[in-house]
Parts: sequence; structure tokens; C-alpha cells
Amino acid sequence: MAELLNNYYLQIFTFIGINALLSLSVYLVLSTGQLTLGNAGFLSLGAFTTALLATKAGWPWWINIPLGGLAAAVVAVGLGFATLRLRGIYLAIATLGFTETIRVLWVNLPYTGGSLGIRNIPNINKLFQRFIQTQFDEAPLGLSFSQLANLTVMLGVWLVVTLTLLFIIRQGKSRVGRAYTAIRTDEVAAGAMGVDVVHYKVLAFAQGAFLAGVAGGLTAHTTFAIAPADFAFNKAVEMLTYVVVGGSGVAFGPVLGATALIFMSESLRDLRILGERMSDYRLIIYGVLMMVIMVIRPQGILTPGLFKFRGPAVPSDEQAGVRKERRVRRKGVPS
Amino acid sequence: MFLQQVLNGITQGGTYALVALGYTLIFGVLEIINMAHGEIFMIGAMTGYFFVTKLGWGLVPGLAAGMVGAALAGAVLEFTALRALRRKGVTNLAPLISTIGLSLVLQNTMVRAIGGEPRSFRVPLGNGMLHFGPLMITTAQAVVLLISVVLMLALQWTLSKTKLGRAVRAVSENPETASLLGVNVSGVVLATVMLASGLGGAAGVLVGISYVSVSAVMGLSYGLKGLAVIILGGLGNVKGAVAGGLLIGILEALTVAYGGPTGAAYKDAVAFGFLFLILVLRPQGLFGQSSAATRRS
Amino acid sequence: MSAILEVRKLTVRFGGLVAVSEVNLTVEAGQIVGLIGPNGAGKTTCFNLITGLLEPTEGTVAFSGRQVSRLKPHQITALGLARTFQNIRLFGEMTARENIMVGRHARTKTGVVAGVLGLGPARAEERESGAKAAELLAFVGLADVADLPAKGLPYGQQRRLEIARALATEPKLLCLDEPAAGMNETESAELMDLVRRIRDRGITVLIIEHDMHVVMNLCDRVAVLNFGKKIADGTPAEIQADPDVIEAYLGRDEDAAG
Repeated sequence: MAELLNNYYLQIFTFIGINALLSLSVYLVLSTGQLTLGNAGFLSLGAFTTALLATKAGWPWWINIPLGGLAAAVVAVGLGFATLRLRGIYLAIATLGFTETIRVLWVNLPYTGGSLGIRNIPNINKLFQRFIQTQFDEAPLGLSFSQLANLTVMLGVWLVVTLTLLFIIRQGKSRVGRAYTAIRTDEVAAGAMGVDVVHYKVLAFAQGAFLAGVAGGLTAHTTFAIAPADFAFNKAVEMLTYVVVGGSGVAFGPVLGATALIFMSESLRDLRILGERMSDYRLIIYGVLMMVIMVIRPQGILTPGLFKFRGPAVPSDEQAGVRKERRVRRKGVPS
Repeated sequence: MFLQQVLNGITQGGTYALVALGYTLIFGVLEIINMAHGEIFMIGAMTGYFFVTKLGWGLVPGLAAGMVGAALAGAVLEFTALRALRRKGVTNLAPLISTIGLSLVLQNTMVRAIGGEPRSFRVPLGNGMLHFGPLMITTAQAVVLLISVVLMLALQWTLSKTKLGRAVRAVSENPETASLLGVNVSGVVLATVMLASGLGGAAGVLVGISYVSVSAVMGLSYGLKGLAVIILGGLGNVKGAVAGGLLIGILEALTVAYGGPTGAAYKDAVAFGFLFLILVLRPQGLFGQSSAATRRS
Repeated sequence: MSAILEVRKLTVRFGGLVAVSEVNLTVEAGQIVGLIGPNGAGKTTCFNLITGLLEPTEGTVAFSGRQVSRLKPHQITALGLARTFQNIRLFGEMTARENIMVGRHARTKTGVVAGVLGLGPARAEERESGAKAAELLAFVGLADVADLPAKGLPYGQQRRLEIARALATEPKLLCLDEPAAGMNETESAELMDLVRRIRDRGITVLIIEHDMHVVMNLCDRVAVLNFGKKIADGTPAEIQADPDVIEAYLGRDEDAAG
């Protein structure tokens, strides 16, 4: 047990949890039909806000992290309104531009540490560890102090992920979720049916940004340093990949995508094939994987059809049409 | 002084325009953004670098080699990432993701093969300066500008005067109708992708000459700027791509010249910052068509 | 009787093209009014102007006495003006029931927090929406396909579903855009019956149609558009005999069949 809960695995799972949160943030915005590459920018906004509050103002993590999310959400409202009339690829690139511009901002603003970023951020793993050490002579469960601390943090992060999943699924089944799906399917028809499209698009944008900002705050407090380069185009692409590979039609998809891809890239770290270290080929394998998945299963691994749950769906037209027709015929409805 | 900066900007902008033309051509016939275009640009640069520095070829043959290398990479792109997806008729997201995947493969394979550090790319051009009245331009800049202009004119001529060019324009408008009229759409698509890639490769070689260096990771920054340029110029709009590229080049040069240290630092944000401003005011870009009359959401 | 819809000098220009020109239209409450004209006459454009999808270049639209030409579509729907679309715009992946429930949006108000937490009022509202959806499904005869995805429904059922969805917004005026398009005689007759039942519920109907049989037998009044202008307005019998109308549809060729 203690071996399974070694610090390496615990840290990986914490990292996966934070990225699951990130991919859910993209999923949420995608469920209104808005393809955004801006959540990497909101991630950095949350991370830097939290880091600055922690290092410059000395505030505690449980205030900083939510504030990071809030800061991101506020900026998102502005960005959301600015990009309202943009569709599809225009929106994707404009939001990518936001991510890039913010990155340049962090590098050049005073107090944000230039391209090295912010260092010596209070790490909550260490915080918990110190706390446990003052309470106990020996850590319970046969674990070391650091293990227990890391376990707590990991569970905490996954608790946030679980709550987020619950939130997204329940929202998806509610009036708001129907509005989101309607907007994604046909904005004009949605508006004609009384849905305030602007309100909901900006809302989804802000919700996604909040999640990304919280993920940023968690990132800041679970590592010791953050740098602008961590939150650039590559990160935006990664998040999107988790959603697309894991399944863009169900809330569990992005979580699976983050878990599977990060797990895979970590297991490759020490694997050797033909004397070559596979971890050097990690990104190449990612790339090939993305290309292959787009050909054989563009909706990603998990699809709404696999599940009883019916959250917001982004299946390919073909797939959706074919599946539904079969069901109609079975029920004996004449076509 | 002002005009000098504009000239510098135009020289730089010419390379942006070439990159943007590659994106725009592919978008025109396929309606997708080829996210691997930045890596095609890099492959062109690397090929040119190889032929010039390792095999001792001259500038123009080296440029041609770079363009051919990039065009071949483009053919690979078409057969691996793009063609397979067209048969399935998937949404626009899939080719986007697929080309992102290919760009990861290309960039990292190159890094694995030869390392990511910059390499010196010296071309036998000398260090001369040309003077046009009060304006100065280095020989290298002049050559880059000249070649950019020649390529853009050649493209324009190809599109408007040749059979292939007409076919490309037909497929851009409506692939089904073009096919009904006897155009070999697949062939035209392949030709367009290779043409677009060739232009990107040329831009790569020219940038390598301008900065006297190439690297396996040079595709990223240019790729992103190229994206900003085509959105600015309007997707699929050839003239818009050129105008947008030149405009961004000029804006960057002016920012560096008049912005002091802040200006130099924010140079890379200029392209996207400006794009953002324009998109907020005009969602279809500077030269794009607006989708319908005043539509309200 | 008061006019539920007053359109005055409605005009819209797209660049150099005038799609709708100085159209005046009055719809009295409780009537079924037809809007006809050759293809391209500007009928759907008028609908788009009335329902807020397009902004008029000139002219006014008054709904129940209120100026609505500057309002957004969802605001106009909230006021009680609903529509269907010429080329059916259902939410394909959602079920028939869910489509209708989207129509309830303007008459409900559960927000994010209440919806996610499942608070009492939210659950009650959801039940009520479900009940209204069920009632409307029965009203248009789609009760047995309630939980099938809209995309898979046959054409005629999709048309009726779109009408049911529009009815869910509790409109006072319902604008139908070519609801009988592509229907055979039986289906058209059923549709006409449905429209009459809608009128019996107290809803005024403005209908664009090409099927003359439907128009003549259903409508109390008919307005005729051609090239963006209104060329006639009267009872079905009157406009049938109107020489301008005949010319618009059939031209002035003596060989044209009557």
C-alpha cells in the first residue's frame, strides 16, 4: 500500500487531476459551440494571480486559489464580449492570440519575474507535511509524512475534479444546459426560442475561465515556480487534445483524455525500445495518436452512446445521424 | 526615421505574407487551417540550409531546394493528415487537430534528428548596403524583399493566367461544381497544398537568410504570426494575406523603433494585439466578407 | 379588434439591393393572415425583420403596441412573438421533448445555481416544463416519438415539432414560414387543422405559404408581396381576382394557364 502511494505516483495523479480540471474547462466552453484556445491564458492568469498573492502579499492558499479563478473569470467576461461575433476558427485564433498576448505581458510586466517567472511559491504539499509533523510523532497508515501530505493534496485536487464533473453533468441536464446545447446546435434558432445567446455564451466562457484559473492556482501552489512559457500555445494545444482524444461529447471524456495521455507520456519516460528512450519520442507519439484518432474515431474515445448519461454532445454529423436512424426504425416509426 | 522603418517593416512583412499565402491557399481549397504550416516553413528552411551550407549550393538553387523540400513535405501532409479525413466528412475540428498532431510529429522528429539549437545560415551575399536616397537596406534585405515580391507575383500570375490557377480558384469556390465541370479536384488539392507549402518553404529560407540562422523550432513563432495575418486579411483572401503580412511587418518595425525598450519587448505581441483590436471592430477581418447583412445574435 | 402587429413602411437594404420596400402590414388579433408572393419576393426577409433577426433600414414594427424593431430576437420572443423556419431548424441531437423544453426557456427562470443544486423551485419548474412539453406533444400528435432525437424524425413530424416548440414559448402571435412545404394533400389538411386549433387557443397566426389551397382555405386575410413591395391586401377571394397578383405570379403572357 505504502509502495503504491509513493510520492512519485501521488504527484503524477495530482498533476493529472489539475489537467483534468483544465480539459473540463475547455469542454465546458466547447459545449456552447465555442472553440477556445484561451484557457491556457486563463490558466496563467490564475497561476500568476495566486503566485503574486502568495509571494507578495503572503495570503494563504485557500484564499489565493479561488481568487485566481475569480480573476480569470472577470477577464473572461471582457474577452467573451469582445469575441462574441467571432465564429469557429476565427474565435479559436483570437483566443489563441489572447493566450500569446498574456504570455508576452507576463514576460514584460514588472513584478512578474520576466521570463523566469515567479519562484518560491509556498507549496501546499510541504505545508501539509509540516502541519502533520506537528500533530503526530509518526504518520498514520504506515506512510511517511510527505506521503500523507501528498495524498491529501491529491485527494483534494480530485475532490475538486469530482465536484466539477458533478456540476457540469447536472448543469447539462438543467435549463441552462439545454440553452448551451441549443446554442451549440443552432444559435439563430436558440435566440428565436427565447434563449439570450449572448448571456449564455459569455457565461460559459467565464465558467471555463474560472475552472482554468483555479487549475492555475493549484498549479502555482503545487509546484515551486511558474514561468510564462509553461502557459503558451503548447499548453493550449495539450488541453484541447485531452478533450478531443478522450471524448468531446461527454463530461468524462476530457478527464479520461487527460488521464490516459499523461499516464502514457509518464510511462514512456523510462521505457526503452531498441535502445532508444521512448520519452524523447513522447511528443511524436502524441502527434501520431492525434492524427490516428481523428481518422478512426473523431469524437474521441468516450461518446454519449456508450453511456446512459446524456450530457452536451459534439458527435460527428454522420455518426449521430446513422445511430439515430437505426433506433427510429426499431421502434416501428415509418420514415 | 519613419520611412526607413516602413521599409524594414515591408521587408519583414514580405516573409509574413509568404507564410500567410500558404495558409490562405490551403484554406481556400480545403476550408481548413493547416496547423502544420509552420513546420513546413521550418522544413523548407532546413532543406535550404542543408543544400547551401553542407553542399555548397548558391542562393537561388538553395532556395529552390528549400521550396521543393517543403512542397514534398506538403505532399506528405496531404496524404497522411488531410486526404484520409476528407473521405469521412467530419467537422472542421478534426483536420485542425490532425494537422496539430502532424506539426508535433514534424517539429519533434526534426529536433530528435538534429537538435533544437539555432544554426548559422550564411549565404554568400556579402555585407553590402544599398542606398536609395535617405533610405538604406542591406543586400540581404534587398534580396529577401526582391524574392518575396517575385514569388508573390508568380503566384498571382499562376492563379489568374494558368489552367491550374483557374482550377484552384474553381475548387476554392465550389469543389462539387468544379468536379462536375471536369476538374480533377484531388489533383488540384494536392497541387495547391504543394504550392502553398513551397511558398512556406521559400519564406523559411528567406527568414533564415534575414536572421542568419535556422533552427528546428523556428516554425512556431512564424506559424502563429501567419495565423494572425490570415485572420486579419480574411481567410482565403490572397490579396488580404499579402496586405496583412506587410501591415504586420510595418507595425512591428514601428513598435520596435518608437516604443523604446517596451516596444522591443512587446514586438511579438503586436501581431495578435492588433488582430484582436480589428476583430472586435470587424469580425470578418480587414478584408474579409461579412457573412450577411446586419445580423444580430 | 386591436392590431396585434403593425408594420409601417418596413424597408431593408443590403448594399444596393432593396429586399423589402415600404411594406405596410396590419394583423388583427385572432386572425389567420397569409403572406404570399413569388419566390424571392421578400417574405422570409419580412419575417426576419419582424422577429428581430434583421435590423430594418427604415420603418417600424409594433407588436401589441410596442416598438420591437430594435430588440433582440430572444426579447421579442419573450414578448409573445414566435416563429418557425422555412428550412426547419430543430436541435437535431436533442429529443422531441427536449426541443420543446428549449421553447420554454423564456417562460422559466432557473439559473445555474438552482439548476445544479436541484432546489425546490428549480425542480418544480422542470416538472412544469415537462408537463407543458407533454401537452404540446399530444397537441401536435407527436406523443409517441417524444424521446426520439429530432434528427431522426420524418419530415412531416419535424415540421409539427417545430410548431410545437414555437408554441412552447406561449406566443400571442405565431409566424409560420412555409409549414406545408413538401407535404402531400393529407398532411396539408392535417396541418390546416392544426393551425385552426392553434387559432382556437387564442393565438394569432401569420403564415407564409406557397400552397394556394392552404392559403385560400385557411386565411382570413392575405397580403401579397412582389419584389419586396406589397402589391395587394385583402380576403382570399379579393386577391385571387386582383390583376396585379395574377400578373406577379403568372406574368402577362396570354398563354399562361389559369
